[in-house]
Amino acid sequence: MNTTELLNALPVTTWNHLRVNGAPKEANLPERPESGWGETNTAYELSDGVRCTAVLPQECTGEYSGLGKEADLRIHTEANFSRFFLAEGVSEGITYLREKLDAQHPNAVTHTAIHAKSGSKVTFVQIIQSDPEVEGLSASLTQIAAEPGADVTLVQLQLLSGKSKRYNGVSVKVARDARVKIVRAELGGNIVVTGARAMLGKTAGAFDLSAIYYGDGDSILDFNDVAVHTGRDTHSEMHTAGVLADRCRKTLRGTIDFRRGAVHAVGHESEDVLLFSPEVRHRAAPLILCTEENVEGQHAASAGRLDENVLYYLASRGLDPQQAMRLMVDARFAPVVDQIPDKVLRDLVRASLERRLEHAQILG
Amino acid sequence: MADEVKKTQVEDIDRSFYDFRYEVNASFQTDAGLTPEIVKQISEEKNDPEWMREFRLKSLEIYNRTPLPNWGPSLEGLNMDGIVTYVRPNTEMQAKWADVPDDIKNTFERLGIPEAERASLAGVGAQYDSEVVYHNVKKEVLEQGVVYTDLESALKSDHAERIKEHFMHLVPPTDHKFAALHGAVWSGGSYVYVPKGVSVEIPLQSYFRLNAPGAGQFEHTLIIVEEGAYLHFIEGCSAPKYNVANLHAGCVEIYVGKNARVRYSTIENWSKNMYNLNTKRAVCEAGGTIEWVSGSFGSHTSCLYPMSVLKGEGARMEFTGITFAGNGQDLDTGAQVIHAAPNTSSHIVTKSIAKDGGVSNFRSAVAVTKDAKNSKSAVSCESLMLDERSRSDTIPVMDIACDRVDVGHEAKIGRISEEAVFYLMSRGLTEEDARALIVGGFAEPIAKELPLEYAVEMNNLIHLEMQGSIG
Repeated sequence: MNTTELLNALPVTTWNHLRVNGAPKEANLPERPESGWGETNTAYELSDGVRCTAVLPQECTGEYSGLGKEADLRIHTEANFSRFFLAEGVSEGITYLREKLDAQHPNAVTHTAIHAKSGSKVTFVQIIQSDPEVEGLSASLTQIAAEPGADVTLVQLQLLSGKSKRYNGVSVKVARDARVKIVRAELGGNIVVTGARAMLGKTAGAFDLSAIYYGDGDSILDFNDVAVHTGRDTHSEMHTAGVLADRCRKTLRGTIDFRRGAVHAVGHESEDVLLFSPEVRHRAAPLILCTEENVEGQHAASAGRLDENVLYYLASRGLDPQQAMRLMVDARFAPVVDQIPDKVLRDLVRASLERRLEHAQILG
Repeated sequence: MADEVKKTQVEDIDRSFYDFRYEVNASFQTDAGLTPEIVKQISEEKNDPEWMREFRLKSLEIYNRTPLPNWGPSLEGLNMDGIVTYVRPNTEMQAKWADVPDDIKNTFERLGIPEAERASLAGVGAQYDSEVVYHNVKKEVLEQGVVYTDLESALKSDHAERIKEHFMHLVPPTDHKFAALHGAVWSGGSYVYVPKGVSVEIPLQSYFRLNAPGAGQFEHTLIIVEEGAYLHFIEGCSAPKYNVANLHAGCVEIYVGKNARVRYSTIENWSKNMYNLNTKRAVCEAGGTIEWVSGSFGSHTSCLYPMSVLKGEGARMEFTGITFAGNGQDLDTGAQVIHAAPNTSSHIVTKSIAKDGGVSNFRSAVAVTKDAKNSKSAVSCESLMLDERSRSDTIPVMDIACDRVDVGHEAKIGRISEEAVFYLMSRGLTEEDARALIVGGFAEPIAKELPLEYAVEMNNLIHLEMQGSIG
């Protein structure tokens, strides 16, 4: 199926020459091979209170992810692995969704739906990994519906090799007094296209996104996160920290969309980027769209190198520049890494970052 | 009535001050529409040098093959076939107001231009429809070697070669469709040349008035400020309201020399049938500074994003702007900056107010090239929504290709704080006064950047009458 719409399209377009209106063409979702996507190396472990359902819950459909409608449809129809979950009651455990790309299973096109029933509390962790040399594809669509009072946490850890492509669409529907939280770490892949879109349509619904990314080599990173507020007293928090090294090209679009009726809605959004190389390209488009008078919206973005005064201070305390850099990156990523509810996974993420930072040059 | 809960009202800008008109008394005007014949006609009428005639025709070709922008406000209501691109008023350019025909002179008298000239300006240019009808500059400024005249006269002076070297080099006709249109049909506008080291202490001002219904105004302002010089240039514009669309596609090009400084202040108050598709651009050499102060109040639709190219090391840009959109208005404004040299800095501060179904959008672009090491940029935009029928979008973009930078952006959107209203009322203010004070305070950081007479005009423009109770 050919897609005609831009991936990760900016909700309101702007100057074309800035190249932020959508993901670049070279980051398009690859066409399905004639032989199909093959089999996947995918597994899941259910926690108490979570069970699988054979049919896609209708509650999870009707909205689209930040990737866009056409990309969602493609992943939906071409998925070589689909899993639909129903969560009831309060669960202290974690449901793990594991996906590994290897020579025999280089492509995982996965469709996941999470339907959290009223008053439920549940945590899902998606772990996407690959063998170092595999040139694979991980394309996933995750559709979440949180019924009134539900509390859903989705942790996405992407640790692919530098030769794989990653597409990650998340659509979220938040009901009255419900909360959906996404903790996202995109730490691998040579093309990463990610878009989360939350529809806050009911009173006092909340959406939190805490994200980190690390881009190096010649990778392309493209993000499109959107919080649409139509319900009263809805709340969104979208905060991203990132590191760009080598010749990485990154675009982050973050949109808070206050629509009529979103009385007393609050939305905050931020991005903080560390630039480690004079050859990186950092693009950001943090939008606030507003057709409701009674709201509070704020965004902040900053980009730059490590503060030389901080480096100097740390050097005076006996740290070499590489150690100082690690410390500073750790400090930036810690608020997100610390939210990973599993020590083994936290260590996995830290080890991955450690490996990447070893190759980074910070002082030109 | 005590039991009637009224929403807070902020009155529309009182436009009656600007909304007067005279019969069109043109000595020449083209047919409506845009054809090579019309472009040639304008060129002949203006007695263009050959290179300009060719430039116009080439621009028309570019216009014809360039699509309308696929972003920004809708331009559906703009029909170029209905626009008259050239209307020459029935007078030559004069250096004394007494010599200007009564209808035109009365127009500018009512707008307060001659009075402002006497009180606080070093020179004034006044354009009526497509041509400049009055131009005068104080003797002492002329004695400093400053040139301030209409562009048509300058093209025939010893500055002709300099104009040829600079005209539409910063804004080439290929830039966008309306830059191409401007290249094809431009007329009127001002030429300012400030020699090395000269500081023009008192501002120069050009005022643009469009009187003819269904007409376009395409004035070109070319400013060259040499090394170490200083200029404050003020631009004002207005028009009476008609039922047909008018078009303003002017162009401003500013060349800021090494260590020179230019301040460019604008109060835009076109009528609400105007499509204001204006292009402004400045380039700054090493150590140069460009300061934009911009107030956008009028127009049916505006697309206005002054661009600053910081070409030389240590160049600096400041943009301070306010946009007020009321009923039927779609004002898409902001700023662009390109940091193209080391140690450059930019600072963009804007305020947007939207009410009564108006659309007030902020759009910006901050680009930092590979060579712009140790550059700094800060963008801050605040929007105030005065009712739930209006719209205010903030669309900023950063594009950074250099790691040794410090770039920050912050934006806020909100409403009048009930806590602040409550506090002020507890200090004895009525609710109406409290709300007026808060909105006035919101606009104040911009107002204080304006020249005094324009700050007064802005206060006239934002005639904020508040009434009602907490609703």
